[in-house]
Amino acid sequence: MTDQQEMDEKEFVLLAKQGDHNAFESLVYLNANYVFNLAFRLTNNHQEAEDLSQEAFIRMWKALPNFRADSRFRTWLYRIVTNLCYDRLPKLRQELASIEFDDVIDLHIPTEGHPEKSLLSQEIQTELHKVIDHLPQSYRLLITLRHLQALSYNEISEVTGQPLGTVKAGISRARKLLRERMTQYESQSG
Amino acid sequence: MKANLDDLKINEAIETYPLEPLPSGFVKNVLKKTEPRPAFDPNLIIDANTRFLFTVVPVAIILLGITTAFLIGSRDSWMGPITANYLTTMFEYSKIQLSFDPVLMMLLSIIVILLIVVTGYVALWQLTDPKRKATY
Repeated sequence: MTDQQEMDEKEFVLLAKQGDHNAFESLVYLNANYVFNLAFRLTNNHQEAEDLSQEAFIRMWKALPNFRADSRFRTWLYRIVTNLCYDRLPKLRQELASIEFDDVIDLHIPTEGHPEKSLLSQEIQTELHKVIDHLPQSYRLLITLRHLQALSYNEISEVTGQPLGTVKAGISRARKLLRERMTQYESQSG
Repeated sequence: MKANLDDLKINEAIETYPLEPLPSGFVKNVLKKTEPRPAFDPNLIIDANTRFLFTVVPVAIILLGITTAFLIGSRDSWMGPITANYLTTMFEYSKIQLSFDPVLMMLLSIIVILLIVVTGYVALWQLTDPKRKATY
């Protein structure tokens, strides 16, 4: 999200809190894609993701007057989505809670200096997407929040209601799985 | 160096994971479900004519009530003795000591009926007010 979009979003939030339905409409347009995809990544079902994400927006509208801006609006919105996912997918919360974080590596993942051209061939990319599809739901949730929704670890901890260590461990393990598969595939391809 | 490169590759893999397109009508559905609605939409159920009826009907009930009360209370009415017996039994059970004068009964009946009908009328009038505050 650009800075301008963030500023616009803050304004829409203030107006929507006062009952401005047009401002709420703008918020829906800004966030619908991300919310739907977050739900879809977890449920893997279009209809369920649609129901879940629509319900999230309805709850958001009803709860907006009480939103106190202690956290970023998106963090609050994704918390609503995640809580709905916990209701629909009861094992998700248990899975997250069971992630042990005694062997967390330091997650100094480079985020700057994205190369201009792709580092991965199309085949490896497709292969890794399949690995992501088959990751445990808890790992998919964490890496989606980190990479698609661009939340910080603290924000992810707030959204999921899990300790920071659990968040880091989950992301670390998900990346480790991907790295192992990638290395295996690269060595097979020669 | 290799670790960094691997991390960048993983980043790329995750970030290029395809986004699902939003289902058609998604935003429209959300907006429809959150649209403010009046508490009681007169356009859907009550129009001006129907609202008029809602005022005539209670008035008719009031008149009916008064007539019934009169009949109950009237000494010459065939309903008088039956109702008087019933009321006597009721008041005995409730320990209320009253004179069961038919005229008094008639007046009490009128008052009670008036109270019920006027309260209902006022409530209905408020509910059918088009300017009533919207709820969700």
